[in-house]
Amino acid sequence: MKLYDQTIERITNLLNESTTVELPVRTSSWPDVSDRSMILRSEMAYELGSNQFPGIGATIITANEDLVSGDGVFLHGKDLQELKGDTPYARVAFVKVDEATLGEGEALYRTIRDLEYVRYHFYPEGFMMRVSPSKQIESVRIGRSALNRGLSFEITGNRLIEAFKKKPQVEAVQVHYVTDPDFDYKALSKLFTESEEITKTIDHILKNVIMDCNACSLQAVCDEVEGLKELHFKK
Amino acid sequence: MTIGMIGVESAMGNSEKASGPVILAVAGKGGVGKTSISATMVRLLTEAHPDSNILAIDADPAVGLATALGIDVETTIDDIRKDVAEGVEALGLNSAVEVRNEVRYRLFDALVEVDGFSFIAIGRPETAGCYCKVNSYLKEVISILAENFDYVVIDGEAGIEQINRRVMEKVTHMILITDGSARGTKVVRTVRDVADELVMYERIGVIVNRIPSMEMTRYLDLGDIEVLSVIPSDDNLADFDIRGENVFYLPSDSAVVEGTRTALKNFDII
Repeated sequence: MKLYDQTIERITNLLNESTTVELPVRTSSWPDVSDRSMILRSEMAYELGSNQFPGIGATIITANEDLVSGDGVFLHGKDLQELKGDTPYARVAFVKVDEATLGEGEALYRTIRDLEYVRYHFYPEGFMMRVSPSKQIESVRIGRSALNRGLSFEITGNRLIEAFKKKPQVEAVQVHYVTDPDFDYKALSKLFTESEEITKTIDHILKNVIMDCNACSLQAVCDEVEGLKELHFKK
Repeated sequence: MTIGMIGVESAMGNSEKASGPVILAVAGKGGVGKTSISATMVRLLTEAHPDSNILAIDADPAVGLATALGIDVETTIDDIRKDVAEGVEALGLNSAVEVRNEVRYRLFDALVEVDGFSFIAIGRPETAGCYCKVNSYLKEVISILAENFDYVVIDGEAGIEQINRRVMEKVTHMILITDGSARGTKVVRTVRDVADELVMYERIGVIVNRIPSMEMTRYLDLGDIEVLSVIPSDDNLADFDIRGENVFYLPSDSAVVEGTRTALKNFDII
């Protein structure tokens, strides 16, 4: 399971260009709200990623312990209590999985999507994610009252790790939050697209029987990503 | 017929508010003043409950409620329906959960949040093509949206079936509007019959609007529907309608404001 390893390395290099603060990893008792709960503008302190600013998010998996050695929450920029208004935002979760539990073919694809969809079932109080899969936007409305009660990235990061760890395949998770206004969000967005292309190529391989790489529209992705061709011809 | 100037004991009270929103659906024949009364309800709710979350839903394709509330509509629910339903593949949506989240994301773009209340327009009904899945997600997200408000006012098309089909199945209060015409009162009785079959509601009542003289009320055949208020013709409102003015600027002693206030009081909502 090396499919995303190059992308993870590139993202890590990009994240390392900005100042990083490692936040404590510990159990959080911060409450969740119902999946039907919404934060209206009148109840909102500010928005991470908004119409004015980029808001992006991704979940990328690996089986490589060197890339994700243990759980971690990392912040690049200001924390929620320090922010004063709408701001650019990115969230990346590197998820270390047990390769033996991933399965092959359709099962592998479903597992990748299942882990990616954890964000759609993540409802910490005061932290309302809005995701447009088509526009690749992930923004977050921060509730005023939750902020007053101490909501922070340490809390949301730890809650996200807990959410991922409910999945049996997951061994470790590293969550990165970026709010640094000088960060290169465009470059990160390109790397997220690269990761999504890999997942789509896996789906394409499963659905199509084209075995002639020269006739395939996704040849470029397969040439670039180690493991995709193996996956196809093993199918 | 009961003229509802006398307060009616409500079974709802504050305990109901705590368990869910008060949802008022306004219906009746075209041209009887539904939109003006719906807009006035929104205004009165914002005045009576300044700390509550109030949502106005314009379920009339003509989008008249927006004008009456001084709102500019850029995106309607039907715009979302068409974009998402027609473009599932083009948008690269891989699963039901992605479609649902795409709809939810866009719903916030369609929701206009102004001081005192929020507003959303349903827009024109769907045309050809099967949008069943998207329709069902939309109905679900509108219901979820409504749950996050204390009061919801739905200005419907002439019929009620459309509210059930396109907006939500459950309302707490049905408010029917008629003028003094026999046709208007007949429509009100019919809408009540349809609502009895299609919509889950707790209370129903009628506002008789644009009555030239109170004497005429004796000729109204409204069956056993509770009359919440009777509103005489209102020159102020006619003037506002012509100029496309926002009902928030109507004098608070104008007939439509007073009549709507009486109706809401009779339902124990203000």
